[in-house]
Amino acid sequence: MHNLQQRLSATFSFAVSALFTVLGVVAAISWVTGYGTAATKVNVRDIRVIQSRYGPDYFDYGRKTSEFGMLKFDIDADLTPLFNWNTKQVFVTVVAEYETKTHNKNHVVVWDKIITDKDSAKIALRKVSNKYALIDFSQKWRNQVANLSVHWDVTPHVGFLQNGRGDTSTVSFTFPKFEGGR
Amino acid sequence: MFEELRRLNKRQVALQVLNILMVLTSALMIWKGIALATNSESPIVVVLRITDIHSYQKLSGSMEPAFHRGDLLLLTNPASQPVQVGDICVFQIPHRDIPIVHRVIKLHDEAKTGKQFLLTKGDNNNVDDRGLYNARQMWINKEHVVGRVRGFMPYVGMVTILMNDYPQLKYVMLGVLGLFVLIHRE
Repeated sequence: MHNLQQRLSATFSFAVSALFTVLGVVAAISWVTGYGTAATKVNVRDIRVIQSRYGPDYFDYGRKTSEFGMLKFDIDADLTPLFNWNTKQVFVTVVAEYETKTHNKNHVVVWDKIITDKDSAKIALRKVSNKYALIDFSQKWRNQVANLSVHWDVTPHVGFLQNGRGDTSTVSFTFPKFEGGR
Repeated sequence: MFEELRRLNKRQVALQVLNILMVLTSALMIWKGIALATNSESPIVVVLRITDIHSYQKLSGSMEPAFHRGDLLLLTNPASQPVQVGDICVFQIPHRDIPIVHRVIKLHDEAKTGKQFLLTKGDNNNVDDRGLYNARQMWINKEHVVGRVRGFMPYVGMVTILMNDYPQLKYVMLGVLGLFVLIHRE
């Protein structure tokens, strides 16, 4: 009754459905249990404003009077709780958030790191400079108040990406007006 | 196999052809249904390398180690939800063939219009994507975003990459599948 071809086909289709069911269950478990939350802390050491045509990214902003924030900050973060059996990568960022008259939501990543194992998930860094250009849309800073906080995004081995932020870590600082010099 | 095919009469052949069409149309309906539900024109994408399309360009692994070539990504793009910083977006620069999967590192929402100005970067790249945008283009906007990555499944997309690399494989597989459906009787 059953020839080899039918047996192979049945085995293959059962294997495929079993595999995808397991993947689905894994994704569902991680979706329900989540990844918890991490203890993070940032501290602003210093903020200056300089004028330049090129940012730290070497991008040409077109005018010599473009203003860049030069930020120095400390990070203390313990991201080990985010690592469980279904964590492939944690992408951690430090984000500056502020509001201006023309733009009601401005989020700028100033620092980021890829973490792939639990052993390197404890971060304690002092006097870190911003990695990306800290420049407003208007390319000017006018005593702008901003908040700094730590965000993370978890990529699983299989399943849904989940993100979070350390709410207690928010620290506020003010971009001074440019006062000449470099 | 072919004996079996010969044993079928005209009515049965017609029924089998209709069956194939049913399978094809339901697959298309499911695809379009997911596209509607996620509001993304292409809700499931496979991570490629630029080398897969243009052999002279090489831009590999910009999102490694999170995403590798052949991984499957599930996208959503809800119209009511603005893009957030840290979201991994699939976006398409106007007049370019290939969509790019990169993370949003800067975001400025215009108060008056709600228009979003986004800058993206590959996690594993040293610089942001302004070099990949059109000349003098500083930002991408929400209309360039095809979808935001919500789900991840490794390796599964390798099947489509293999079929892309070896087009003969595609026809062999389609042929075998078609023959199976044609001669398989309930």
